[in-house]
Amino acid sequence: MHGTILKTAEGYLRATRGADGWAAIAAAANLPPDGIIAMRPYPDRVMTALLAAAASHTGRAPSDLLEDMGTWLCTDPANEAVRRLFRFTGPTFPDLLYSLDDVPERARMAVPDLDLPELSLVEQGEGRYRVASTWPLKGAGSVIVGVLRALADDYGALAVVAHEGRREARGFWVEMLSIRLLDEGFQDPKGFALGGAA
Amino acid sequence: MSMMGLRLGRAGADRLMPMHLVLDEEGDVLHAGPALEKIAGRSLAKRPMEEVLRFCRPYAASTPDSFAPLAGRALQVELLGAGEGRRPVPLRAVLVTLPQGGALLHLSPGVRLARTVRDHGLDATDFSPVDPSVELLFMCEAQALVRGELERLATGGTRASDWTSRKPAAPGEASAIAAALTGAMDSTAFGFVRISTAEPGAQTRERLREMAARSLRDRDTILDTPDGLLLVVADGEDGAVATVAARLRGRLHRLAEDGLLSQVEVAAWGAARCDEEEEGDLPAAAPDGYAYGARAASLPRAGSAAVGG
Repeated sequence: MHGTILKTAEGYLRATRGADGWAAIAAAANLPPDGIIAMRPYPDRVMTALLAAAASHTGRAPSDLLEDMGTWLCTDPANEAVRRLFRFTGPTFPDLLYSLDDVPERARMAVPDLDLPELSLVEQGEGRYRVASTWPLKGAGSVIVGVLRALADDYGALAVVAHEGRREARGFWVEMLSIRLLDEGFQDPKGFALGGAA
Repeated sequence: MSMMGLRLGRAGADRLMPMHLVLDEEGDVLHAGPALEKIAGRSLAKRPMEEVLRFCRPYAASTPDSFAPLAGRALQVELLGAGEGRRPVPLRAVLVTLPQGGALLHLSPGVRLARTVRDHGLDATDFSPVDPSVELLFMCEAQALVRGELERLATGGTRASDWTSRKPAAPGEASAIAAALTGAMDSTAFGFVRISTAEPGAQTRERLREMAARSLRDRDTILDTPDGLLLVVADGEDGAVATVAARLRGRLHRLAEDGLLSQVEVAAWGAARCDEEEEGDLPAAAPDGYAYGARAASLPRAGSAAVGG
């Protein structure tokens, strides 16, 4: 588990639960006393413990928190750079969907040892898509649901994104998502310029 | 343009090479790619090449005599802008001569990619879909993001956010939504009920969806939004929308009392005026004794609004 992913979870929990809330969750999860270092690898169990502690502290299901984190990642002004990175995938929401398979490789362009969920898109026609997310830990699909809902809004598209279920196979969690694109130009997209942050 | 039996129309050339220039045997511009004209800030067709382009390295005169010696070499050129105020734009280029005379130049911002994109407002359509330039820009930003994270680590601290205080969209947005959905919903009159929550996670959303489904008919639609649900009420005439909203508020009130949901807002608007007292064409109340009267609900909620006719 790359520290960047844990650091993202920390950022989300700090933003939504405040410093005190984060401190309580970190203590319950027995995180390292010097905090999470973004560029350091950690055992997967650290993420599992962090999620369990956050779920206990907030009274919400881990999948609930992860979906929320995905939305936060693409909508909070503090994460504008992340939103921009997703928008580089293309000028329309379908372009983004078509590039989902490239997400892990794009992430490795930024951080070579960052392993994100493997995503596989199947286009079913008439605006319907299915995405399989494969990752060692349970819940990556929930994050992707949150990300896609937020980005559909960012692109101005009207889309129904749903988590269809998950199963464990050979040490990986395969999670299925469904996407129904109802209107690609539902509203004006949020601003994006290629050279905006250059 | 034709070469060795391959004929390529202007539209095809523009898509493959948005920054290209076709010169005839006299040295006049026959055609310029759309991205190149965007950078130049003017139409380039029919202009003499000395008004458009300067060969810098290797240096050569902007005349047809230069085509053959420059063919196939990596060139540094300057695209000349119109008027005194426009500075020349440095570009990389490669030139090939054409069988019928003249030349084709394929150009690129090269190492000045980020600056050229920013200065001239280029977007993804100004590059060929297989051009890695956009990926390079992505990489620049990704590295900037990583650098920023490292700096933030060095200084400690994560910025607090107003994430928990997001507000639902104003009812005034309804007109835009209605316009967009008019065709899609195959209905001449419909309304909306928006349920927004500060905690739009999967569990909350599922609970809201279940609750909403019990208040709607088959021809109504439930859509996910980042902060909750948007219910599209078909045939939303005379109180149907208001009735849905009132029922939802009643159910929300009960859930709030049970401690299951909090910080949820319901806003309704549509073709009909939202009168919470009216009963519309909706199924009979579910036999769970929900508190129908929205006025009894103590939840914070947005006011109703009437939009359109």
